[in-house]
Amino acid sequence: MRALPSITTCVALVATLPAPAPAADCTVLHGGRVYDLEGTLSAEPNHLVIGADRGTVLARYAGEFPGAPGEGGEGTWEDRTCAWIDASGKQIARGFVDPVSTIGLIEVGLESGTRNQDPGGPEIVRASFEPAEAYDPSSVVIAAARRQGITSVVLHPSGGMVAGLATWVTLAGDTQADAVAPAPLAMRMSLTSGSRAGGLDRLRDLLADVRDYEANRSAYDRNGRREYLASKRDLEGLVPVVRDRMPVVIGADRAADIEALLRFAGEEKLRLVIDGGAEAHLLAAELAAADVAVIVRPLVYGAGSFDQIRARRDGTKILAEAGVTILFSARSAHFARKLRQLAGNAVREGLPHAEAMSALTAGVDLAFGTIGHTDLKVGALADLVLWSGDPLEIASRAERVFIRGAEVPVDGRQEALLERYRTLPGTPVPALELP
Amino acid sequence: MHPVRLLACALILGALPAVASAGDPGADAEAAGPVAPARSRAEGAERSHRQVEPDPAAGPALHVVLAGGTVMTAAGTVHAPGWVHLEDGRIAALGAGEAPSIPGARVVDVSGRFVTPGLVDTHSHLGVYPSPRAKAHSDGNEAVAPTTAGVWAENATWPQDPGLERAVAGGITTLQILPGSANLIGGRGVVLHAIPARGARAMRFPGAPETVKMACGENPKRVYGQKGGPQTRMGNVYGRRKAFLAAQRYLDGWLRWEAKQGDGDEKKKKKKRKRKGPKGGEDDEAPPEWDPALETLAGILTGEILVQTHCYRADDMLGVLQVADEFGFRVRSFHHALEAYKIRDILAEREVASSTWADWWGFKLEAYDGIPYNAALLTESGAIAIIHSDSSEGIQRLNQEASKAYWAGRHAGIDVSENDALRWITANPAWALGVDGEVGTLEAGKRADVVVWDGHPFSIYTRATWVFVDGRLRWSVDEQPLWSDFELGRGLR
Repeated sequence: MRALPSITTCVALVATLPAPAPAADCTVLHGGRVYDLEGTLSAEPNHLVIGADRGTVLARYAGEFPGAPGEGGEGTWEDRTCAWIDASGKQIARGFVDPVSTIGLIEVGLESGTRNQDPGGPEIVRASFEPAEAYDPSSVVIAAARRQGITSVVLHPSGGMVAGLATWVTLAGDTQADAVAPAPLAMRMSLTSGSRAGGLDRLRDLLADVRDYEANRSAYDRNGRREYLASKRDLEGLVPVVRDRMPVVIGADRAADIEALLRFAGEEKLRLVIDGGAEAHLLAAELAAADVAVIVRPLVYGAGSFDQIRARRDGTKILAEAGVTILFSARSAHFARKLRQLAGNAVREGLPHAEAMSALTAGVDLAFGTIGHTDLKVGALADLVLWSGDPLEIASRAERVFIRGAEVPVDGRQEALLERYRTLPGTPVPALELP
Repeated sequence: MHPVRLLACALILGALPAVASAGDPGADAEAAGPVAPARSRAEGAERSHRQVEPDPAAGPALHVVLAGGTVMTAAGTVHAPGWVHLEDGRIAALGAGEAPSIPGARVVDVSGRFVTPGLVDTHSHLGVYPSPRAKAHSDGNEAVAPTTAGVWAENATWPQDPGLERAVAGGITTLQILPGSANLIGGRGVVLHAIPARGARAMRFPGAPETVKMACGENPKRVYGQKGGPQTRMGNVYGRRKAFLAAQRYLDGWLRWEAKQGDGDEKKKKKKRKRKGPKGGEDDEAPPEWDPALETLAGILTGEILVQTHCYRADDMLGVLQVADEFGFRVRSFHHALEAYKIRDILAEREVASSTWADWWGFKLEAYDGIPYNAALLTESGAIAIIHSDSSEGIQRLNQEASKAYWAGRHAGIDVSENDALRWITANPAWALGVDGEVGTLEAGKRADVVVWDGHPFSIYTRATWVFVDGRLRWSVDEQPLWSDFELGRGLR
């Protein structure tokens, strides 16, 4: 297992977001087994108390619980009355995080008027573009994702050579202020089309400009520097990449591209995250040595493209065995349902179950250096899911989902359609009675 | 006309099997030199289905008894434990409990494992949009006109697509390759057995009916909106109607000509046939011109060709059914059919299947009302539900897709059984493709298309251990040669 990153400023960043209105101040989840940060399920039933007021775990007990169930779905915890959930026989895990998402950015895939992840235009450097500013907290896609145990996503831009900023979003709340983290997590780049070497060549030029700019800001403002490849705001956007090791996410599947990217990241001292990695297993040791995380593709087996010819069924297992931090992503707003299927298939092909659970819950923290979450212990952010069984198994379901200690609905528009069409034949909207 | 060919023609006339001689290699192999135009629809069909490549399923089928496993028949019974006896490429017998002693059969212990029918996928573009993605292999849409009924997916199916082997590894034994959905009538699909071959024709499922791909809704609009139309859903319906009016005329021409030939036979001793005049004037007894495009459309009208229609929205599906009623044909299966649940009473009553996904939705507006309860609702209402892949990835794990739809339904309180859900990927798709008499359930007499799984097929952790097609082991988890030439020489396995 990998070492955890040190706690960064991102703790405050995620944990201080305002909580949505709580249904109850506190909730007792009694008797469930609980996954830890490393993905291991507790051997014994545990009892968790979570608070919507603080958004955190208020207490955790392994043996006796100082309280008892009462009437009407309530119970006591010490001197407080809380919502009471019998979790016995069930499993509790931190909410899943999809590290590459467009939930709330794309409402309908092919309708350009509902797409917000790409600003378009000819510019290839868009380092100041942060699509989370276009996040729609009322998107009907959100409930469908929560229903699969996903409580947060990282919104990614697309397009251009430097696509822009990726931002943590919590799938709760009525406003952007409720949901969107105040600072971005990572920079998204790509090797562009044409020769991949050409892409690296241009990125080197750009990063040289950023360093020159950063060292000579006042000269730049006096028009005393050479012409740069990017605008002032885009250069500013890239400064954290070269100065603070803001993670850089680059899509690559081909082993040769990953090798070149590792070299490039080493030379430029970038904190690299590979998105794709269909052939990454061929460089598992190198990726581990460079501490480069990979957002894997466990369902790619057989070459979807020429870059994926050497993809293996058990590629994820090989990466994890070598110590590479892995993450899973559905990579699509509407396919968030596939997140646990991706992880389950990696386990089917040999990845230890705990590694998969850890990747789903803590992978973003490990790869991006955030510690928005910890183990579900006292004081931890209470983004958690009560599962009917093994969260990766198809027969299991996310029964209750909590974000910052408050229960959030998992029924959405799809369930409203189910309800409307539950009984046929006949028109789904009957004639009204006169008042 | 060659006397032998004339005889063949006479035998076929009036009969309707469009696949008259598929799987009959070397039929008329001695043919050389110019061939006269077909004098019947059946003759044209027979000629266009001849096969050059010998049958790739050569070699003896295994004679085995799979014993001790949980046998899920998809025909309503589960034998736990049970046994299945495969002989001569067929399921000879099966039953519950201990396997009987069968002379000459190798007994294979599959205790702890699950045995199901081979999976059937009604919607694949393997071969026509093969792996790896390449412009040169993008052969799925003849997007030059909104109606291209004369093209056949078979002719573009690259048998070296590595995806075929990956599909078999996931338990697929039969699949329909379809043209894409750019066109209102995009051409013929083809039903294949998942076996390695040098050409797709030799993979054709023996005796399977012809199929055709139609599309409604957004795709034809998007592709042709700026290219002469259709630009709207109105244009979609009009385009379909125009095509079938032409097909009616074509079919009528043949029927009248054939009727006249019948009259001629009766009167042939009395009446001398008119011959072509010396100036090349029209012979009034010349047959209509056999037209591949109109043949497909005519085959839809006669019911020879099973209609597979890409359609998402409930009202679009109703529009297709309206045109079908207008011209007297039936839709065998809607594909994608994300709003089928809204009209499932109508689909059940008309016996129209819905090939859908477990949980795809939202990728375009006509997919916005897709819900993961579609298949379960259809089944509960007595309609025919199918889980299809339409994906080189999804086809590798169709059992998981069925399981997702099953559990989504169960969790919503919809009354579906495991047997129902297994039928979504076996018996029901076999029915939609017209091969349900041959595959789709484990029943004595059917083809030995069988999968042995290392766990329950609806578990995320389960893999296919062995996949049999016609009683021949086509995939084994232990040892698997690469099928595709494309993958050779790369150190892959």
